[in-house]
Amino acid sequence: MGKLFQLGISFLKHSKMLTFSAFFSIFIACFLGVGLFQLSSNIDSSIRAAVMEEMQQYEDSELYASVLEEELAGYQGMHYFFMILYGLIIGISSLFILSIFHELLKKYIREMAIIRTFGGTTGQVNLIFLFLSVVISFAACLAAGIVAVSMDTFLLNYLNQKYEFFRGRMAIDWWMFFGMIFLTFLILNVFLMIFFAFSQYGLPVEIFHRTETGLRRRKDGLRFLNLRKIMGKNGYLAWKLLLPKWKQGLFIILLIICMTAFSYVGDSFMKLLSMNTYAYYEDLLKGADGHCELMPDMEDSMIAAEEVALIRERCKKKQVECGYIHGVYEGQMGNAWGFYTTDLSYFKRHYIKETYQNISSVPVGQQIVVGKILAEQEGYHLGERIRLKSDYLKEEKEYTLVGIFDWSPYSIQKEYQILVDQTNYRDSQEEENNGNGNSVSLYFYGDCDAIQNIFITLKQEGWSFTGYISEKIWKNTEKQLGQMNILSKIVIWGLMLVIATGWLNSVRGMLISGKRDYHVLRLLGAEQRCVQKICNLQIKIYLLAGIVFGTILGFALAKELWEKELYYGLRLDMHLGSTLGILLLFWLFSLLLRKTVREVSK
Amino acid sequence: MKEILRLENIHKVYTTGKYALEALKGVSLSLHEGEVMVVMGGSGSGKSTLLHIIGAMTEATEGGIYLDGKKEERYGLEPDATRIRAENIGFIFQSFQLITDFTVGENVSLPLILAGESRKSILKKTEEMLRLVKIEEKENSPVLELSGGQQQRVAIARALIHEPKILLADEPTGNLDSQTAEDIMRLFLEVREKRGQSVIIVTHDPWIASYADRIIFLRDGRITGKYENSSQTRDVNEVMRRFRESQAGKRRRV
Repeated sequence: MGKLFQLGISFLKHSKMLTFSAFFSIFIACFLGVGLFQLSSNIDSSIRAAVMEEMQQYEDSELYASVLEEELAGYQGMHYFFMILYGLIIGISSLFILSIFHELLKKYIREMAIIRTFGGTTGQVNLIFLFLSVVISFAACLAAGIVAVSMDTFLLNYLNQKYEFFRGRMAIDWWMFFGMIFLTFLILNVFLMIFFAFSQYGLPVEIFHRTETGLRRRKDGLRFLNLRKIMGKNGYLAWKLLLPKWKQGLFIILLIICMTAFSYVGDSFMKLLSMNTYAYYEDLLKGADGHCELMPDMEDSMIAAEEVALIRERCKKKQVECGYIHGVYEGQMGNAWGFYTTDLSYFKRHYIKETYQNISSVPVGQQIVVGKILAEQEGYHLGERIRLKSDYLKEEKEYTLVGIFDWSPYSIQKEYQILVDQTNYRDSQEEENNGNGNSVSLYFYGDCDAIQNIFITLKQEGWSFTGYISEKIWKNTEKQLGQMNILSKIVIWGLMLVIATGWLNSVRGMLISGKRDYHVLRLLGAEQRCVQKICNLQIKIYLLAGIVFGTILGFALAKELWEKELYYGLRLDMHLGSTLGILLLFWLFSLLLRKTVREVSK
Repeated sequence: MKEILRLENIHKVYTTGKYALEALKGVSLSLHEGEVMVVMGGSGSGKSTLLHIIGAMTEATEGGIYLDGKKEERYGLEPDATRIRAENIGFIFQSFQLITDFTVGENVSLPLILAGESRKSILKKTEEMLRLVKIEEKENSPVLELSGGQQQRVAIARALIHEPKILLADEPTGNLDSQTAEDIMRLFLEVREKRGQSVIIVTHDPWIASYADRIIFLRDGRITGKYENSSQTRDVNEVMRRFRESQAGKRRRV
């Protein structure tokens, strides 16, 4: 057994590049995994503490209990999110680590065949490679653990300062720490063990006599000579030499395509989330400092106009201006989705730039304002007489268009696109309302603390609503989007490092396997510079094939998945930021191949 | 006959650390147009080194090399070595050295693609060469599908397509059976007849050497004998006798 292990060690010594690549890939996977779960653990304890604190401001214990339960349930999703991220890291890293060990296996396949010729079993051969994988993964996980202990505290505290993941400073969760290192070590070696068990194929004699290419008759091999005019002589030869070997690199290219597409889709998702979230809140707030929507106690009851007036008065005392939209729900009747009233004086002040020049001649009760989108759709213009039909009105009534507003570019619904003055509103106590209920949307303009106090008072009075304060919303939104963004970027770029390492080894293997062909070119009169250019072009083809197809696939997927989720007026354009970043990373890695290119082109 | 290559007092020393090995010790020879020359010697005699120097694959430590009467100062040094190989030398190897992923046509046309010739010229010359070596029906076949003899024909066609002055063959029949070997040697002679090609063959096989116009015997890096075959017949026994004579000093030492 000792001799077998000695043989394994000598393989490691003679395959420094492969050994380092495997070590580096495992290191990254383990380091990322440990870091992610340390972050998750700190976020978890921080959130519990914060939620407990915040809920104490509510005196109602029932309310407190239900909100606490809701908040904590929401954060369960975060745990699943981290587990999915870890699963991705381990899954994708394993594939690349397998590819690196596959290269190692290919390199020593003749040696293994010789061992088997002299009585060695496949089990003994498996043991050698398993030993290699245990040694490399143990060293890598240990190194990742040591680096994580020293760097995670610094890194996570730095990230926390920028993105406020958790309160206070980071504390290492030692159970999680050692658990993740052990789990990563175990998962990788189980994968490798399975891989080695299935990779011992063929008898030694088959390996000794194996030819590199299959015998196949091809059509005229010289029919593409004219491609030299486009690709140049070097490009043509690079492509010709690479083409028969496409199967060798297919696995890596497919993984690069998948990762590039995944990165693009992930990026698009973050953009969508960001655009939609901002659009949603802009649509919700409509330029106000705060907003809430009050619902009546029963679905078919009405909120009285006096109640709204009282709320507005209370706000005025706190130096907060309160605008509102008081609406009645309707079915698809007439030319309005619902019947909405507002204090037109406040509304015109905030949302309308240009009013009808003869507005003073139009009684307030006959004034109507219409949204820009609806005005364009129906061809309305200022001063026009509009007949409004509504169940609530019971009859058609004529209004004069005195203003066109554009307070929400994101909504195309007819809801909130037609507004008349509050004098048109009648309470349910006085009129039948045909079973329709209503709601009141309140828009607050003033100090955020004052608005928060108004929300607390309204809740204490028994109103049920979700209050939105713009300052807090934008701050929280930025924080949450920033957190998601940075986490996803860390994971994607960590994986990209692993993939780039796997790609590097695959390309190096391809160059070395083509050494003989490059040597023939040199003998036939090709300059070393020319052969180096051919090698470099092959490297570029190998790289660009994955990235270009990955970007196209990512773009197609993003359009398919996300475009219909976008708010009106938003577009998911092609963005090449992540693609260029991936290209730069791989280009930097390709610089490590210069020595190999020089060697094979001698 | 016109002299196309002359080597004067060629020395080649390989140094590894503190050890120096002198592979060639003052070798001088000349090659004329249309001549078939064989360099014969035992293992370690320096024949491969001589071939590498003539083929501009390595530089001589000392001595002069003349190509078409003109001295080439940087014969084995880049970038001149590449230019010399591209313009003047055609190689044929024992193991054929074909690109196994290419077809016959693609292998043969490779020197012309490297030289940047037009498509029309490449197709025309490739067809001509394949016809010359009698393998035109295999143009689109992968080379691994061919027999050893056929592969060597492909190698010869590739070596000749850019019209080199000198064809260098390193044990060209080493991997072939005797009948195929004879076919290949006849092909060399045919090429010499039709194109006036000069050929240098390195071998340790006296039967192959008997096809030559002139044989140079090497032992321990020196020329120890020469044999000019002025007759039309092949005298293998005479070649063997001369070879034994040239190696005689070595045997006495043993």
